[in-house]
Amino acid sequence: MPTKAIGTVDLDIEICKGCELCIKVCPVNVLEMSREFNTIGFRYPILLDGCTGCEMCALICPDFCFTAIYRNIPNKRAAEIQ
Amino acid sequence: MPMTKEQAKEQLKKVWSLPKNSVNLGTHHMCPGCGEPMAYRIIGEIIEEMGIQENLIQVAGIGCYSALDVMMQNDRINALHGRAPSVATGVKRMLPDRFVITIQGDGDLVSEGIAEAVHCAARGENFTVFLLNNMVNGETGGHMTATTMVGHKTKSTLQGRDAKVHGMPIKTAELLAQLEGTAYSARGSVHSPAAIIRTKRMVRKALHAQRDNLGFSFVEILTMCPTGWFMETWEAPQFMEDTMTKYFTLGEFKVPEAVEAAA
Amino acid sequence: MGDKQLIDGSKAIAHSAALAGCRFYASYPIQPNSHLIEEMTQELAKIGGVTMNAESEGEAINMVWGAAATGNRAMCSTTVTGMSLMHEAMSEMFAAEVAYVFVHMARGQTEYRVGTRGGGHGEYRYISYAPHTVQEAADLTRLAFYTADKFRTPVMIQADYILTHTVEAMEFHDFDESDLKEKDWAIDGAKGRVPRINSFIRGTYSLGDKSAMAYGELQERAMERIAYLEENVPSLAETGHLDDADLVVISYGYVSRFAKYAVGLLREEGMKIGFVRPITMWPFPKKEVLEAAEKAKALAVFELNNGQMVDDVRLTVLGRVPVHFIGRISQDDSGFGMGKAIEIPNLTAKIRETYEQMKVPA
Repeated sequence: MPTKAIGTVDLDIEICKGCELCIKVCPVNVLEMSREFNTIGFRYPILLDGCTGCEMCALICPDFCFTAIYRNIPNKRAAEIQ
Repeated sequence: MPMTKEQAKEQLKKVWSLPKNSVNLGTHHMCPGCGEPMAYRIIGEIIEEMGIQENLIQVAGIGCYSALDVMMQNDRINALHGRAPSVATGVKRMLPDRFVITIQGDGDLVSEGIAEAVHCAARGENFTVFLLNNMVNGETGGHMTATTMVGHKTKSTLQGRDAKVHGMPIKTAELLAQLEGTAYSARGSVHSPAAIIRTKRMVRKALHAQRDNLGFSFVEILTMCPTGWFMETWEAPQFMEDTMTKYFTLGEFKVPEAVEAAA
Repeated sequence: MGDKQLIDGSKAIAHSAALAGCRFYASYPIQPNSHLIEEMTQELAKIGGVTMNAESEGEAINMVWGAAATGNRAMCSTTVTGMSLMHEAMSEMFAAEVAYVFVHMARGQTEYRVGTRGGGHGEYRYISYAPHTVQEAADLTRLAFYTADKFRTPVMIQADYILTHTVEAMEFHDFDESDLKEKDWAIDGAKGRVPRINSFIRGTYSLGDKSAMAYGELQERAMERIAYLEENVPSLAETGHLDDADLVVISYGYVSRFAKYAVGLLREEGMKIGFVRPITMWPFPKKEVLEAAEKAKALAVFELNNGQMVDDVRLTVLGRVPVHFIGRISQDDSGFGMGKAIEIPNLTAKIRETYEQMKVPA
């Protein structure tokens, strides 16, 4: 069983409206707003190294940009999804 | 050499994904930082978890979220402002084996239609009412509702709501909890991941109460409206944590024993 | 069925509704509608239907919306002021294409305009029937449920205070509904099909249906539907003595019984008077009224209001003949019933006066 959580997220930047709620809730501060704009004219989050796959950003996102979360330490639901 | 994202993903397990059957994803027309889509997703996730989307009729009220309704993959009736509980009564009485939910805002349920909600609760109608409380009439452009907090600025109370003029906001969850017909009444919020997880449990309990024919179930979900509150999107959750949840306290106000035991 | 019975108007409507398979009824007590609530409670209990004594008129009509949207037959009823409260939902139920039957237990006849044009917002019409006997009330109730389902639109029955309490011999007839199609618009849980939406903004449509009405097309759609209904719903009327009449009295609902009787009395005196009794108030029976206008020298409209149906008559005859309004607002002491204007001496005097004026050469 790994002790250090490693994770990543699937992120659909084209539907982001740049509310920055994910930036505020990320406990390891690996999300950062872009300098560029997406096609609907908003800045969007960029994932840096160090994500733990904690789901916080996905829970708070009002635009459902975070479509899936991956992690090395599976939870109860992982079995159901896969 | 660092792994690419795709390589990393292969070694990891998918631990979470958006509900696909009950919620239609994609862009919606809510403002940035709006709390209502989150509340919808919570409800959609529980519907998917219970596998009842083909057995559920949603009655929607009128507010910003009326446009959001295309997210939900179930039969729906659009009710008039404040009248959703009455329409839901007609539906549930005709189809008692279906799940019936209403999703209404605070302008809809509390300002315009509190009588309908109170009478439905008093009759113990066996359906679930979700109140998305953001303290403003968002769709009209951000005007005061019956749940706007004292001192809170809205388009129609630019100096803040004055209790001498407009009275005090209504605590709907506590109000409905006092009625005999109410089986379950709770207030959750979507301002933080922790609150969202708690709210999800409330939504689940409410729908379980309906499944077990226990009577009227009600969940008030506090949502943020940074546009209507004249705030930056990222300030709204903090405002809810510091101010709004102090008046509208989170928690369960009435839980039937059967539901508590099962949870 | 087939046996003659002695029952009152409310009971006839209630039993007829039960025979038509009405599953849901909601109302709020108000005189003279209250009697119908009592009868409906008993009738629907027999067939396992639901009667709701709602906490307000607004709740009653919205409950009926919910019940009718599930594809079940539903009925609502009220009286004058109650109808004002219900118009918010009634307006939008036409837009949402909800089929239900509405019984208006009037006090007089001051709601002709509301019962045909609607009293709420936006463009909408009711198919509107006005029975004048207990027998007709029962028959039209069956027809109303059938028409509502056939055209998927609200249908109104304009009953009144006297009809509610009048006891008459009548019988219940069978009604053939075999040509009705299955309700492919019912909101009953999307089991194995695409979810449906019943919306007063966009009508009833399937989720993702690209051909569904767009926002903003509502009023255009209403226009088309109203034109379709006006063309396709059969309008009914009863006529008498039109072949030789110089003056034709037009009157509807229970009041028309008095008008018909007065016409009979005056004909015995040798006056050439006929009558037309619209049974459908909307679509208005233009054919019969025009036929009367072709042959007669003048028309006289008798109704217990300040002149509402007379507008429809004038719009139909378009100045071919003079149209006299001989009605008036007339209530009894209780405020619920009809007053002195329908008493035969008053009524015959009024018709005689019009007839004699008409005879004076211009």
